[in-house]
Amino acid sequence: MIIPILPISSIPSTTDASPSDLPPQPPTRQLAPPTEADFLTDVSALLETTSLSAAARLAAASRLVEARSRWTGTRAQADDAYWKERDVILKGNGRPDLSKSREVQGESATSGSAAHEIAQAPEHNAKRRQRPTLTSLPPELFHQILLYLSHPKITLLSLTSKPLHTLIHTLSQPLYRTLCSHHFHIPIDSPSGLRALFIDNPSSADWKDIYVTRWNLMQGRYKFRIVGDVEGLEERKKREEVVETWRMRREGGYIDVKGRKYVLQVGQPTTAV
Amino acid sequence: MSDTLVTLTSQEGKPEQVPRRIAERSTLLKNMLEDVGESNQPIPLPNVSHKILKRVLEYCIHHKDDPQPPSDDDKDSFDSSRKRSDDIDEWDQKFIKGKEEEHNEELFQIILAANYLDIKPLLDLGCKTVANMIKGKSPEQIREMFNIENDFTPEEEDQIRRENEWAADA
Repeated sequence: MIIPILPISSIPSTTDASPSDLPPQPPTRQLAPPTEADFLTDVSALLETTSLSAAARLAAASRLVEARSRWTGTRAQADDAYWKERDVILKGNGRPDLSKSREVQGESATSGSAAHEIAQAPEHNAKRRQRPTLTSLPPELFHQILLYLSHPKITLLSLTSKPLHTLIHTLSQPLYRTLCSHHFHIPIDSPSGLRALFIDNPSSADWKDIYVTRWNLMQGRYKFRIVGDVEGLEERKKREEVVETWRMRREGGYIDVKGRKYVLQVGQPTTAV
Repeated sequence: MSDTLVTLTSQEGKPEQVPRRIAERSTLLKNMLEDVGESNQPIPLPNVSHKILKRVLEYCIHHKDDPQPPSDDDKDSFDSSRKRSDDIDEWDQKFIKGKEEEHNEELFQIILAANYLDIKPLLDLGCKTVANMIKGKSPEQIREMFNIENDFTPEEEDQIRRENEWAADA
């Protein structure tokens, strides 16, 4: 069965690891007062319990939620109440293994000072809590936003701050791979199609490099020398050429782009040497 | 069946009742409701604040009659055209704009909630909106808008500008 509650905890945190609005992740070893993540683990564990009917699972889950909602205010007492309630609910459901795996015994012993520390945390955090921002979004969401932008905007965005620059750099391969497909119709999922474009090893290809090259091609920043026709591609033979390229330099003149050969289709801005 | 009410419990533990077919705009809730079958137990949404839940539901109610969006697999393989962000309809635009003073914060929270609840059109709307905010702005304006601190030294900034030169005059 699918446990739909799981996606919450599976959202990876952002690279700059700032305190964000995601639920606080507990140190896994230290099992003191319950945290949001403990709560979520409990709920998903509960929903996984196959020995119960669906309705009973939901009923137990809502009791857990109720216990969770009492956290605010007098936190330290509510913590204990939560663990007790939780033990009743989960153990009562014939899942002693769950409690054991989470070392409930150890918890009650350590919940003294640590509980006190965390009890202070909520109010404290609420004030200086960092609001969700562009950089605190999970990378896959940030990636989705970037897909709506053209590359000049993306490069501009990477100029705004180090975290954003790092994030964009980290995402650059999947990002430019998709952009290659969107803008230049490169068949990114077809190995044979890619081979025809001299991309023999898609998994190790540098998609940003491919994108930049294509872009420069389109801007007419290259000139070409025809090397020969593509063999074995009978149909396309007449309209495709393998070329070597020189890239136009800003200050004028051309530099040889070593080791690159392209298949050009008629209609692209080529200059035969 | 579609007339039954579903109770959703927000982060604060506050319940919110909605018709099942509204809740089912969320793929997460839809799957969940299908899994548990008939039940009137509240569904906990510990990741969504009450305020954001209300906003998300407002969206779901407005779009209750929309066809379910096609799944990714059907769509992406042939969608080679660029992703557009200028096709937001008027109601959506107004909805996502919300109150001016808390626009950004709420926008990001809505994106997170839409992602968590798996409401694809709302997630797309959020992402498009952020993308549109970035368009046509200078780095300085972007920093200001999203409260980003410029932590580059002038040398570093210059270095990155040079790296990005290929894209500059587009």
